[in-house]
Amino acid sequence: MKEERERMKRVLIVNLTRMGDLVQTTPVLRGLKERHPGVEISLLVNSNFADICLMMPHVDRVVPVHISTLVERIRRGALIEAYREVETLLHGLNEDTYDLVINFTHTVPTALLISLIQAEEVRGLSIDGEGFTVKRHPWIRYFFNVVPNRALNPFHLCDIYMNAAGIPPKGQGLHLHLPSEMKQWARSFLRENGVEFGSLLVGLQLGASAEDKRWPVSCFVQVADQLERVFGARILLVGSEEEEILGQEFERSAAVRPLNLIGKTRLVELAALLSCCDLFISNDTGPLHIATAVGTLCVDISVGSVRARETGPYGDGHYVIEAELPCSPCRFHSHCPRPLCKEIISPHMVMEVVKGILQQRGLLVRLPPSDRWRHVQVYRSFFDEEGLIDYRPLIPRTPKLEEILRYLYRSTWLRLINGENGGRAESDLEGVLRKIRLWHRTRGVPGDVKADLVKVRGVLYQLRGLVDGGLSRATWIAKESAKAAPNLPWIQDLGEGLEDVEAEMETLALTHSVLKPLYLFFRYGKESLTGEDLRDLAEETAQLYKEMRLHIERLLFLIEGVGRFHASKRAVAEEEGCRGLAASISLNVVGKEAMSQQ
Amino acid sequence: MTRQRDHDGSVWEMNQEVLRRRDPGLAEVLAQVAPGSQVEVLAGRRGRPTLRVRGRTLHSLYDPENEASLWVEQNRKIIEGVSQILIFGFGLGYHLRELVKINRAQLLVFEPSLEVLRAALETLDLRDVLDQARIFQDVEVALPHLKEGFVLLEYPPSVKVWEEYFQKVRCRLKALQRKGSPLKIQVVGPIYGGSLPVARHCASALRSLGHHVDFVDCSLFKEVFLSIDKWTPDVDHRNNLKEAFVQFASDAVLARCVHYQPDLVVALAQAPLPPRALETLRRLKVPIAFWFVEDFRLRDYWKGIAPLYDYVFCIQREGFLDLLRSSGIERCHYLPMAACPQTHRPLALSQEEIAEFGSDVSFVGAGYYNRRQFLTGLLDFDLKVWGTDWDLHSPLGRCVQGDGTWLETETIVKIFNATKININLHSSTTHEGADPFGDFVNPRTFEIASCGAFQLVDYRTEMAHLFEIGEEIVCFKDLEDLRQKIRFFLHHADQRREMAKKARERVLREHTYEHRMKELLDFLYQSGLELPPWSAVRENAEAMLRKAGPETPLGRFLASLAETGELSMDHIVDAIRSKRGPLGEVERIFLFLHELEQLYGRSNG
Repeated sequence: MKEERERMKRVLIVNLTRMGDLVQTTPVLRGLKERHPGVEISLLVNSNFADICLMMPHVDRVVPVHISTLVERIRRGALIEAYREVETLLHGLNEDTYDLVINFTHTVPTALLISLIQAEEVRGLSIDGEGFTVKRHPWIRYFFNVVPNRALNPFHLCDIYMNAAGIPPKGQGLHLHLPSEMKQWARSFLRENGVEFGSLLVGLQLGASAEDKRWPVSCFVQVADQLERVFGARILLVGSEEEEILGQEFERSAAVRPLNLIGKTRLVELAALLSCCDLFISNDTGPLHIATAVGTLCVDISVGSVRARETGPYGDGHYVIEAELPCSPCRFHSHCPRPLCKEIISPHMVMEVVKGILQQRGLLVRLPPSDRWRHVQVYRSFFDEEGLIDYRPLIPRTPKLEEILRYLYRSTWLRLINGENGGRAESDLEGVLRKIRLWHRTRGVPGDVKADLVKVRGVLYQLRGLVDGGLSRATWIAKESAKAAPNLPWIQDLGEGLEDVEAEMETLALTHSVLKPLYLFFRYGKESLTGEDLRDLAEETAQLYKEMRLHIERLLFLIEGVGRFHASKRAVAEEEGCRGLAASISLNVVGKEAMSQQ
Repeated sequence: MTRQRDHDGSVWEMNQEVLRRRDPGLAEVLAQVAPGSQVEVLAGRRGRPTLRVRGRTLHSLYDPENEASLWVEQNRKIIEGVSQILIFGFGLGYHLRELVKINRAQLLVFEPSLEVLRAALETLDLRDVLDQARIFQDVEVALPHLKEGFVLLEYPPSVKVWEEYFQKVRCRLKALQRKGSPLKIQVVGPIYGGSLPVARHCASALRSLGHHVDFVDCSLFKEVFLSIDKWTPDVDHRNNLKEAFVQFASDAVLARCVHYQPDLVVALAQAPLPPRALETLRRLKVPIAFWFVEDFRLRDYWKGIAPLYDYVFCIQREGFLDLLRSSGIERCHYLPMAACPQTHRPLALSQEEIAEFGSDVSFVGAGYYNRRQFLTGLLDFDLKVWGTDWDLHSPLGRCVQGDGTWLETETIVKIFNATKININLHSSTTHEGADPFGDFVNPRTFEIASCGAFQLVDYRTEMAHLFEIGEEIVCFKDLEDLRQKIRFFLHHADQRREMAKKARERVLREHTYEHRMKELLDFLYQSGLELPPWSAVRENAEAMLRKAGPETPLGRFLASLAETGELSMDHIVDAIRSKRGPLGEVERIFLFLHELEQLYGRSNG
């Protein structure tokens, strides 16, 4: 990895996507401030979501881009006006060169805009001289690897961002700053609306930014009614204007009378109200991240195209109830005619989790394995030893191949991209085995998974063979082109051979999904080569091959270790004692039948 | 009322002297204007007077001259090198005085209030202004004086007081400014019928004139629509089905319209646009024009829909235009048929083709009642009859070619070319032969002429206005007259050729669809075409370059692309993408804007 600048003075973070994504940038901002004291952080945002930035500490300057206005101008044909607006924006941004610009918006227009900002270093999607998109920085390349290989991705978006920003994750979650007068306002507002301080207040987020992520209102209604009956909870409904219709649906069928503030709150008010909630049950959408960021205990209902390990609540001690059907997760923005994932998570299940949380003061660590919970898993979030977020399953089940590969990749990617390839292999293996023992309550890997692991080893060997072939050719090209009188026909020959190798690699990777992340990472690297001449390009290519080889070696080592794994009964029992879990959120539960065992 | 004067001596006299020279009419009118209560001249802080109208001061109380200089400075760039400047608002004339100091272009000043003008001429020395300016109240009077490429400057205080007046003038001028720059026009044709080819020709003519045209081809629905008659013998049900079908077709047209977002919709007779659809277009504020190419007495459905159009064009003058106007349709205009010279043209035919398609005498068309009777009177000639709806069992039947099938246009062109004498009898369901009172001229007349072929056509009252009878065209009034002329012209081939040649020249000179479409658009502009809200401000390249500033990197970039005269986003992006080499800043910004619109414009962020 490149040498990081010792002291950054000016950093620009570009996030033109949605509100939730902006909130998820807060750890990066904090990390930058800690790592580079005195750094000035500017944030380039979509003007529609600029007000969330008011609550984001560590932001020195917010630069809004009026996207809707620009688009309207363009459609109207007022091209000169639109052009001048962009020019003015760039002028304002380019008063001084940035040490670092990080683009967290992975769209072509943003990449074009970035390429016009003066920066010493750019990370993220950008445009090169000829107009092609390039993915700058290994962790950005990794980011683009996620969607094509979702089953094998072990990292949360926020941790990827942290790593891309060069900040070692430190186990600090999302953070929004709520001014004290807003908290006071929220309390008195709630009191005025019949929610006394000290009563159990549960917030519900009925809507989601895409239909496939939205748990049905009728299910929320059942949960809400039960909460009221069993715990005497007061229910708060939140959401945006477009979601008002969901609130109406809720009120029509619910027995409980909620405090319905859907479409009635500005973002700061929403944050303040959420901070007063004892519990927030939500789909994976903006308010979930706001609630996480103000320290409210969240229960994330994860259906459709969502995977909590990628975008779940980034904070300690939150819960996720996730559907795990064979079709999970589905494509983003899919229109499923039969969303079984939404049926499979029943209101009863959610109530059981919530009850467990409330009765154990926020610390629910296990659910008994039961046939009813088939295809559903409950997770609890925590920060691991490396400071990255992880989600511990509360229902122990036999491990699947996919899960094991994820555990492996979690360590290998970290080591590879962050350049710590030296030691730690043994301790990484230890960590993986511990996870298997603890999370799956198993003494060894089941037989069929072992057999699969053997096959995985086999394809890794194959890939390694191809990589060796590619590496040697690339190295030869580099050496030969460095000569004063290079043998051009030979170089051409080598080049063609290299192309053949890569074609074979591609076929192998596309037909064996475990290899896809490796291959795609390599390919993105090739697309973003910066070398000026053939020699530089060949050397960079050789480097990419070396990295892939290292990665394969590490994987092979770990797989072998896992294959041999067989724990003693005692070892498993020892780790029953919730080691490594932190109880950071406690609840004061006051209500009708607070501690009743219903 | 206090009056401040620039200096002693009558300012009014001095101004009037110049005005009498430049615009005696206005000078006289102003001389008669009595001071009114609406307009008040006030003394300013430093002795410079200002004007108060309806409670608003038109110039600064403190320093009107400085204010005027600022206004001029703001507009300096826009008016550089322009030959004519239009100004909204005369006021007391401070701003005009400053303007003429730095710019020699002709000024056309729009000022609705004579009182204001009088007050101005009584207060300030405006001789320099009056030398360079013409003053108008009525925009129609000003129109002939407008030059192409004029620039409009508004004096905001005046515009605020007379908002409605200036808005009207502004619209009128906008329409004219746009004249010459391409429009987005949607042409809607019928599902089937005679006006279908006309619709097609209109679309291509408009394209040739440089406009962007979307031809809504409803003939795609023809098969289904015609099959309704075979679906059930029950006439009421058929009619219900047809009505439902037309509703569907009209919704389909509206869907196209909303997507294409035209500046203008041109509908031909029988286009599937029932009243409800027209009202929808009205609501969307799209200007809609109707070319009713039928006989208004015969097809009277126009009564229900013509009033719903913004502009109505027809092929009959006498009787119809008055009727339209009395129905409240102000904007109606006579627009006769035409030919498309690319389609109907002289052809060099082979011997086989002449044998197949040629004859001494022929008629191409549908077998209307009068034609069936009339043409029977020509059986002793070498007669060929072409087209549909002929009675094959009648005596005329043996002249009908190919069992009376529908003909391709290209075949018809060959027939016209191959025939020595084309008979052109206007159709009638009630006459035995020619309609003695027939007014409009059918498309066939122009088409045959355009082919450079010879025809004998029945007299129509409009014919003489379109063709020189006896020189360019020969008319007949009845069967006997026709037979005589046939016999004559069969023996005078060179006269046939001569006439046909002249007729074709006349068509090319005056009777093509391009001529008609140009006339249609001119009429629209003259009547005040108001573009719909969704109409992009498609400035022509010059205006864009001016706005960009020719010496800026943006201006230089645009100048390099501006040969075509239009700079749309698609244009710019295509040009950027086709270039090789590194992308500069200007190009990146445009690509950014384009990609942004593609991404966010669709999904709404």
